[in-house]
Amino acid sequence: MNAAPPLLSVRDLSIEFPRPEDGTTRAVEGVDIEVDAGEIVCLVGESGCGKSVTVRSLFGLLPPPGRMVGGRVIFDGTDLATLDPARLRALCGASVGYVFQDPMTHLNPLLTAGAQIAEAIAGRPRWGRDPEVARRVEVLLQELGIGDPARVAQSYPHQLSGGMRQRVMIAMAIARRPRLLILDEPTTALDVTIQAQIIDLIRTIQRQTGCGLIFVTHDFGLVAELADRVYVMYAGQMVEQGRVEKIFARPQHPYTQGLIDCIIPLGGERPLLTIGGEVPDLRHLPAGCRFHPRCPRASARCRTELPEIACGAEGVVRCWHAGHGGLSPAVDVVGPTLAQTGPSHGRAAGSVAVQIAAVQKSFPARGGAFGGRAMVHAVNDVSLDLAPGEIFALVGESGSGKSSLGRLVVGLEPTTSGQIAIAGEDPARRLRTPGARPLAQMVFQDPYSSLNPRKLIRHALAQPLINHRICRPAETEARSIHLLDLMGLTPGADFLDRYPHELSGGQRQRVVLARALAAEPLVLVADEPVSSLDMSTRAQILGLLQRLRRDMGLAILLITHDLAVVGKMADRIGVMYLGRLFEVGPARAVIARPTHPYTRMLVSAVPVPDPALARTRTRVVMGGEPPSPVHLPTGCHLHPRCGNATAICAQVVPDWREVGPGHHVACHHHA
Amino acid sequence: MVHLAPGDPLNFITGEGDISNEQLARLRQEYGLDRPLSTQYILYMAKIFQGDLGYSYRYREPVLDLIQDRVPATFLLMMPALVLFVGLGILLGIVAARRQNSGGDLFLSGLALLGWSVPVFWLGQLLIIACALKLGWFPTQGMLNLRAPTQGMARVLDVLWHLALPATALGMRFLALSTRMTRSSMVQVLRLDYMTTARAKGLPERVVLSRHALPNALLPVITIIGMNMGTMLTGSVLVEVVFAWPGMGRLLYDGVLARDYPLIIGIILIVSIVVVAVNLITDIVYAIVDPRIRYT
Repeated sequence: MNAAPPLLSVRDLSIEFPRPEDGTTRAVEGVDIEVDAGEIVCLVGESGCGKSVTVRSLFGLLPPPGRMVGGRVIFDGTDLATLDPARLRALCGASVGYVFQDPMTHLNPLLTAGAQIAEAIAGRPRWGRDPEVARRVEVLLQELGIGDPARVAQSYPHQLSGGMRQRVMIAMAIARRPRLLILDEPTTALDVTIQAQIIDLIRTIQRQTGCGLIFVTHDFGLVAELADRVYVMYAGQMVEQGRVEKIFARPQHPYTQGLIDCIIPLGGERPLLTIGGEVPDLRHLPAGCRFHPRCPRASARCRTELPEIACGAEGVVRCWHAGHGGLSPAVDVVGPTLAQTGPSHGRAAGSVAVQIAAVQKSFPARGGAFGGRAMVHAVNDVSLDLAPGEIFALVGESGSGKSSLGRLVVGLEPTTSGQIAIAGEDPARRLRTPGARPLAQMVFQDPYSSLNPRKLIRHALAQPLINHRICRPAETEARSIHLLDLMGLTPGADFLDRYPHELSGGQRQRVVLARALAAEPLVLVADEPVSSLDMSTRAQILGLLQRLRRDMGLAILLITHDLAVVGKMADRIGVMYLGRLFEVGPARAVIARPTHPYTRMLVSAVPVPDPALARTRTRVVMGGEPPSPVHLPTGCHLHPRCGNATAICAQVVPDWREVGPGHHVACHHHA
Repeated sequence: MVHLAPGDPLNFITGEGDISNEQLARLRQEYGLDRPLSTQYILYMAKIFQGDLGYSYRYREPVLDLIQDRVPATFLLMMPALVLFVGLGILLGIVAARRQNSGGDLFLSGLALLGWSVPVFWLGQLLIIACALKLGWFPTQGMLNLRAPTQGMARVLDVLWHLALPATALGMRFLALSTRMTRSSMVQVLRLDYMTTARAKGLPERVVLSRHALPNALLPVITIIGMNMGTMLTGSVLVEVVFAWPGMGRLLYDGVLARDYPLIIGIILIVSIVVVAVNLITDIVYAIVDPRIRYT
C-alpha cells in the first residue's frame, strides 16, 4: 500500500431496509472498500448481493426506506458523516460521477439530452439557451466519440439508441471532471459490441482524467478487462478482495473461484459451468457462512460459525477453507454425455426441420401512416435450412433483424416474399388453423413480462394444452406437472399454484420454456433467452436447452448477441446485419476463424477472461452503430462502417463463397 | 330522451288559466309539436347546421342568444374552480407526496377523500348556512348586489365577493381530485430511476422536484382533469341552482322544469361540444408536454 491516503475509504458500512410488514433486512453488512486516485476497482457478485446498494449509499443516494446504519465514508479527506444532506449532495455533484445500469430509465423522458447534460455541467438547471453551455455540451459529447453532437444534444432520450443513451449518461457523469467515477453495471443492458465500445471509452476517460473508478458488475469477464483491484461480494458481505492478477491466478474464496469458472470463454472445449443454487434471501440468511449451502468445501464449522474477513498470506478473504486449488462450486450444467451429441445426426438423413427460402420482411415505418411510404426492411433475402435437433444461432447487433426472422419462423407474421416451411408446412397458416398444433413456439427475452402476472402457473401451462388439444382436459394437470419436472422445476406440483412474481428470473424462464413446449412444437425459437438473467442462472438455462434438444430432437433457433454463449451451444451460426446474412457456418469454425470483417468485430468484442491478455490484445473496432433499416446502404450493407470497403462494396451485393466445409461468407474481399 | 319525461310544454306556456281544446291544438300546430318526433328531429338537425338552435318556448327568444347571455357567468364560476383549486390541489399533492405516509400525508389524503365524496349541492348549502347565514361573511345568492349597484373596480370586487362561496363549492371536488392524483403520481415518479440521476448530479432537492419530478407527475393529472370537465359542468348546474347564479346551469334547470325542449337540447348540445373540445385540447397539451407522443 502506498503512503498517500486513499481517495475513498469505506469502513464497516452497513445498510438496512426497514420494512413494516416483515422486519428489517440488512442488505449490506460490515463492508470495507478503498479506492486510490487513478485506480479502477471492480465490485463483483451476483444480483442480490448488495453491490448497487453499497455504491449508492456512499453519497446519500439510497432508495427509501434504505438507510446507512453504520460505518464511515471518508472521501478526499472529508468524513461524509459530518456533512448535512445539502452539502453532501453538492459534493456528490461536483466531485463524483454516477453512471447507472439502464440508461433509458435513468434519463428524464421530458428533457433533451443536451438539457440534462447542461444541468450536470452547471450543477443547477439552465432554463435559457446559454450558447456557452450548449457549446460545452457539444464538446463533451464529441470527446465521447459522438459524430454529430448537435443532433444528440437536441434529441430526447427515446430518440436515441441504447449505446448513445449510455454515452449521454457518461457525459453527465464526467461533466464536472469528477475525482471519483462510479459505474453501476453500465453495460449490462447493451449489445456486446456497444459494450466493447463503452468499456474502451471508460478506460480512455480514466487514463485521461486520472480519476478513481468503481465498476460494479456481475460479469467476471469485464473484471479481467478493466480492474486493478477486485472486491467480491456475497449476500451483503465482502468475501474476498485483492489485485486482479492475483484474484484470477489464485482465487481464495470458493465463490470467487466459482464465478471465474463460470465465465463462458470464447471457443475451446470447456463445458458450461454454473454455481448451483441461488443467492439466499436476505430475510432468511443461512446460519454460519452465508455461502455454505452452495459450497462444496462446506464443513460442520461453516454451517455454524460465520468466518471473519481476514488478511492472510494469500490475500483478504472470508472463508474457513480458503485457498486456491480447493473444490470449486462450479458444476457442469449438462453432464459429459452431451458433449458427444453430434450436431448433425438428422442432417445425415437429409431431413430438414426448417426451410427458409429467400425470405423478405418489411413493414411500414412508425409515423409513416400519414402518407409516408417509408418501409423498414427488417429481413432481406435470407435463405437457411435447419436440421431436426440442430441448434442454429443467429447473432448480430440490435436491429439486425434476428428477432423479425424468429417471428417469421414461428408464423406470428406473414412474410413479405419468400417461403418458410417447417416439415413442409407453412407455420403461419398452421398457427391460424383453430385447434391445430403449432409447428414452432417462441421464448422471449424478458421472463418478467412474458408471463401474465395475474395468472397462476397452472393457467399459463393449461392454456396451450387446451387450445391446441394436446391432451384431454382431465389430463391437463398431470401433463403440466410433467412439463415442469422436465424443465427442472421439481417437484412440478409445487409450482402449479404460484404466481410469476413468486419465482426467480431463472424459474420464470423455465416456466416460459415449459409453456412453449406444452404445444409440442418441432422448432423452438429462443429470442435472447438468457440475456436478462444472472451469469450462473444463464448457464443453467442454456444447459436445459441443450438437454431438450437432445431428448426431444427439437430444432432450436437461438437468437442472441452473445458469441461466447453461441460457441458453447450452437451447431451452426448465422451472422446477421441489417436483415442480411453475412456469414454462415459451423459454430466452432466461425468463432475460431471468423472471416467476414463484421464477424471478426463481433468475436473481438467478447471480453477475454484473462487480465494480462485482455489488456494487450488488439481489438477489431468498428465505429458507429448500425444505420436505420429504413434507408439501407447500397451494395454490401456494411460498407459505411467497414475498414476494408472499396468502391465495389458500395455498388454490388457480394455473392456467397465457400471458405470451409459448410462455412459460407458474403464479402467481396475474401478470396 | 327529453320527450320521455312526463309533462307537456304547453302546460307551462298556457299557464294555469282555462283553455279550450281547439286553442291547445292550434298552439301545438304552431309550435310544430303535432308532428311525429322523427320529423321534429330532422327539422331540428337541419337547423343546427345553419347555426339555429331554435326558439325557447318559455322565453320566446332564440336559444343561442339565451345561452350566449349566460355563458360568461358560468365561465366566471368555473375559472377559479379550475385554476385556483386545481393549482392548490397540485401543491397539496406535492406536499403529501414528499412526506409519504406521514401524519400530514394521511390528513391530506383523508381530506381529499372527503372533498371528493361530498355532494356538491350539500356542500353548497352547508357553505351558505355556515359562511353566509351564521357568519355573514358572504352573500347567499346571486352574482351582484342588486340593492347597491356599483361601478368599475367596486363592481369587480362585488362579483368576486359573490363568487367566493359557489366557486369553493364547485372547486372542492377538483381540489380533492388534483391533490389525490398529484400525490399518487408524484409518489410513483419519485421512485423512478432518473430521480436518482438528478440527485447524483448534485441538484438541490427543490430543483429535483420542480424540474424532474413535477413535469412527469403532472402528465396523468392533466388527463384526469380534462376527462373530468364533464363532471365539472354537471356540478356547475347544481351550484348555480343552489346559489341562484345566473349561469347556463341555472338556465338548464329552468328549462327542464318548463319542458322547454329546444332550450334543453341546445344547452346539452353546447355542453357536449365543450366537453369534446376540452378533451381534444387535453390531448394536444399532452403532446406538447410529452415529447414521446409527438407525431414524427
